[in-house]
Amino acid sequence: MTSTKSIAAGTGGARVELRAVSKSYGDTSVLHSISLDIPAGAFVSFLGPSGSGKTTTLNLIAGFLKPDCGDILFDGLSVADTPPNYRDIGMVFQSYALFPHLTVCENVAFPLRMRTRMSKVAIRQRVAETLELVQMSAFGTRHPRQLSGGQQQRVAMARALVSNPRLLLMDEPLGALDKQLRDQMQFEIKRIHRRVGSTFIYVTHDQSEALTMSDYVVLMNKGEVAQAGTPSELYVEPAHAFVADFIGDSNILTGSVLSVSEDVASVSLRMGVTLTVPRRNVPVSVGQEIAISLRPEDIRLRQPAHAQQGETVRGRVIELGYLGDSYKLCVAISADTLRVKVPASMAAGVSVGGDVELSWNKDAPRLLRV
Amino acid sequence: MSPVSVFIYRTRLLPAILLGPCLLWIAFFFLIPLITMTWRSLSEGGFSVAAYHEVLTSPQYLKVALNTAQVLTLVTIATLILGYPIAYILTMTSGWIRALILILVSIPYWVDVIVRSFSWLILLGDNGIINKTMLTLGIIDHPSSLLYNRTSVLLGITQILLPMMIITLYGAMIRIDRSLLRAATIHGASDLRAFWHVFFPLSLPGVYGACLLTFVLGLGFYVTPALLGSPRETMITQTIMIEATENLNYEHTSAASIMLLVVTMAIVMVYNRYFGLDRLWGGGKT
Repeated sequence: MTSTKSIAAGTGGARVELRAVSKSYGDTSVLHSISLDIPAGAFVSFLGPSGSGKTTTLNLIAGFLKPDCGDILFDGLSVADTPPNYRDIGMVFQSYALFPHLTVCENVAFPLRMRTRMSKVAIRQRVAETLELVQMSAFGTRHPRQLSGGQQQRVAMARALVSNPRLLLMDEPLGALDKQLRDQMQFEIKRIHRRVGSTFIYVTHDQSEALTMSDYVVLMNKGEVAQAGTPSELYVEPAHAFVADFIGDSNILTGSVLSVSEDVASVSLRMGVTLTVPRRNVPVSVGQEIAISLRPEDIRLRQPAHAQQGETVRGRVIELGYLGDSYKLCVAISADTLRVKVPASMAAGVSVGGDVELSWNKDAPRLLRV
Repeated sequence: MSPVSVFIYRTRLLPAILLGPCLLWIAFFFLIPLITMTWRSLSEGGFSVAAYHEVLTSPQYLKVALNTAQVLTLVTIATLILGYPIAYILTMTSGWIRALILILVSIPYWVDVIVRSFSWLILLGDNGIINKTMLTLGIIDHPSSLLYNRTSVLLGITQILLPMMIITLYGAMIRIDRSLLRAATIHGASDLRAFWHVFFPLSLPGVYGACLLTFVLGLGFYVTPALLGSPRETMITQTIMIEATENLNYEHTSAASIMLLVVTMAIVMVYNRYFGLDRLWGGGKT
């Protein structure tokens, strides 16, 4: 048993470090030397497609798996020899994993019974407080099977939080809920995070969920960290084509570098257009094959009749989709196509087969590291 | 389509064609004898339930029924105690270790009951392996009689029913969601407490089901108690057999058989109601 600690006052979050952690199953390497430093009390998302290693990383932090090499530290101390039950972690599982033979109250009381020597009265009071936090006070005597998915999710949160763990792990906790409930729960989880102050690690494959909720996003791909940073860093300054593509929507344009100055690079794109792109410290050299990301919502639309001065690209509309507040277009430029998203008012008079001129701000295109 | 298949399609005869041979077989060799037997049990001196009354009030039948119940209760407890840990290990392991244990568990299951009962004679007999070993080692001076008592009957039936108990328990345990054990562990439970507070209570329905099944299967045992027991260990099937072949009392035999069948069916129905028979072959309720 761990020592009984004060439950009433939050003890703050744990700082979690991964140092060159690798993991493979048999011959399949799942994680290649991952290093992360998660600040105490932060809300961090592990984002990535399935098979990117995000759940494996979570299970390593939980202690369900052991790293092949590398080390994991909580608050600067290695947890290599600490079994999961001594790591002071709360966890919300994808399937919720509520104990079906116990009532809601008994489920939530479970970590207190295992971890502390609190009296029954104190446990009852703490369980009531926690159920109130997740707005499930009225359901204490029910069994999990008598609850809806959203209610089970809240109970799973309560169980994970009840003993004030310094670290909370969540494995796609909203994956099984419908969209409306998911949006609502996202804000709830953020509210709870602010209340309890623990470090939250949240695994998801839904980029909008990660962007909405997180202080930091760790975008993973093929067992490596593709990019880690704040949501806006990942969105505005994607380092790789994968990041630009995964976070939001992006046109990935390829071409070769014509000339390089300190601030900008001139790039001849395969679609037959030459672009001047801000360099932002990306190392490039003349003649190099590179990729540029251009977000559909950064592209402006003009019909040829209103043509103005400046760098514009002519193309033909080959697809037009109505999204309510905006239009989604596919514009063919020689052999390439660009995806464009414009406010509905800007797309008046545009039709499939018609010619349009596209333009964008100078700093909209991003050079990507290849 | 050929005319024949069109005909089968139009007349919806396919189920009848597929089920027919089996239904005929069951009707001829099971239902008809069963009806005949039921009729006999009711026809002692005209139409009456006298045979049932006699069987139910007979001290001999009562003694045998009690003995049967006692033996099978002990067998059920023994198979449960021996089988639970093995089923648990089967559930928790994977790959070749699980495959090996499964093979070791199921090989005896495929060996004929008579062969397995005889093997106990070889082990426990006066000139059997155990007695010879103990004589050679000087632990005993003359062979002790290990056979033809309740212990030898218990040993035999337990050994024969143990694989069934293990497989049934395993079938129930494998359905327990492993993430529940992880949830218990991450929230502070040691392996032992995770077992005691989560796995064990969730395995109880499987335990009840496996016990019922073991008990029901034991009701039909004839060869094992006949080979390994003495008249004092007589079980219900032996008594029915003796009444039929030696006393030629078909009315009593039929009545006793029908009652045994009813009790068995009742237990099976309870099992099906609470656990689902389809669990036995891997499908069914979760």
